[in-house]
Amino acid sequence: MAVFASWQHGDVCSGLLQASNLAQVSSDEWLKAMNLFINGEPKEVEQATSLLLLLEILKMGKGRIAIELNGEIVPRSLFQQTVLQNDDALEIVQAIGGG
Amino acid sequence: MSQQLKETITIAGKEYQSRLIIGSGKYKDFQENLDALETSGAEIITVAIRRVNLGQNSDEPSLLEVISPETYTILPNTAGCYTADDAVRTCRMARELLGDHKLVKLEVLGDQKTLYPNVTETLIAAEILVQEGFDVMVYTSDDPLIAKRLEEIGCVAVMPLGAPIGSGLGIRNPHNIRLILENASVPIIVDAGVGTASDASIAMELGCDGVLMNTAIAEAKDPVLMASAMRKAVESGREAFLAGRMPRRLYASASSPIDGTFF
Repeated sequence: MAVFASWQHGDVCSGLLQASNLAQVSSDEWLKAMNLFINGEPKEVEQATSLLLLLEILKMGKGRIAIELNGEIVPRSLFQQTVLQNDDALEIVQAIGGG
Repeated sequence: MSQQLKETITIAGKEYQSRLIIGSGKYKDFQENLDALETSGAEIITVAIRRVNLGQNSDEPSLLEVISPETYTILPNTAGCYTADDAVRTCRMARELLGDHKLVKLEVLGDQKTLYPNVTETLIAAEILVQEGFDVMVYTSDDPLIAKRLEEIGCVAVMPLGAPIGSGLGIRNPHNIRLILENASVPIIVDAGVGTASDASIAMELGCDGVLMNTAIAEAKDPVLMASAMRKAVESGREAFLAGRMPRRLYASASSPIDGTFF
């Protein structure tokens, strides 16, 4: 909420306009996506995405996988409560054919 | 039926009927791999650990949905690792993805052309992994001192190469394999270099506890038929070893008696 008082009508208008611009910038900040690196590729997701949600977005929910977050393995039991942050690096691996 | 006794091999406290271990690489598709696996009688199969392809179709089955860890013992490998760090990291990821699974195949390579093992890095990785509670089956050279050292570190099986990975050159140095066998208290499993059935038999006749192969089956013109051949080769080589072969002689020893000839 903004309150302006002035004997000049113009000052009131410009003050209110400035206040509303500031409000616009704050709301942009809040909705801004964050950057992740997944298997070496950059990816943007919404702020405060959990690891569990990320796997749903990537359609990797089922199947046996393992995940390293910034070099540390995250056990599956902690996927839901692990909240990702800007610039987090993830490695998501699976078993494939090999000798 | 005297020598038909069901003789098993014990690896990391678990008994297996089959002394043949196969890989899952280089097959034309999962079904061919599964058919070869079933025909081979193998109970243990190696897999590699790699990044999930972010664009991959989640409707297509994955390897472990076709070759199930409920039916087979999955042996994750550290293929492609050139440092102890990478190998240890890979094993930790494998343990997590297979649900606290401890059995791993450790391989640390030293050279891209020959895929020869880097034994110094292998020793370092083996020590760390054993301390972290892994059951390590370790791919190594046919150096008897390194093989013994890996056993002393606590690896559950030592796996000397017969020849370079994928070369199909067979058992190039049977004498060293014999030396390793003489000193070993853990299973010795030839891993790498087997090309055809006789190679597998030779390994088993030397006294090896098992054979691990991938390319020999996957790159045969008929992989399923080769899997059948390998099954028999490992079994016959083992029986020949247990039967105790005749001695080699420089000169002949007649098989028919001289006495009683009528001419």
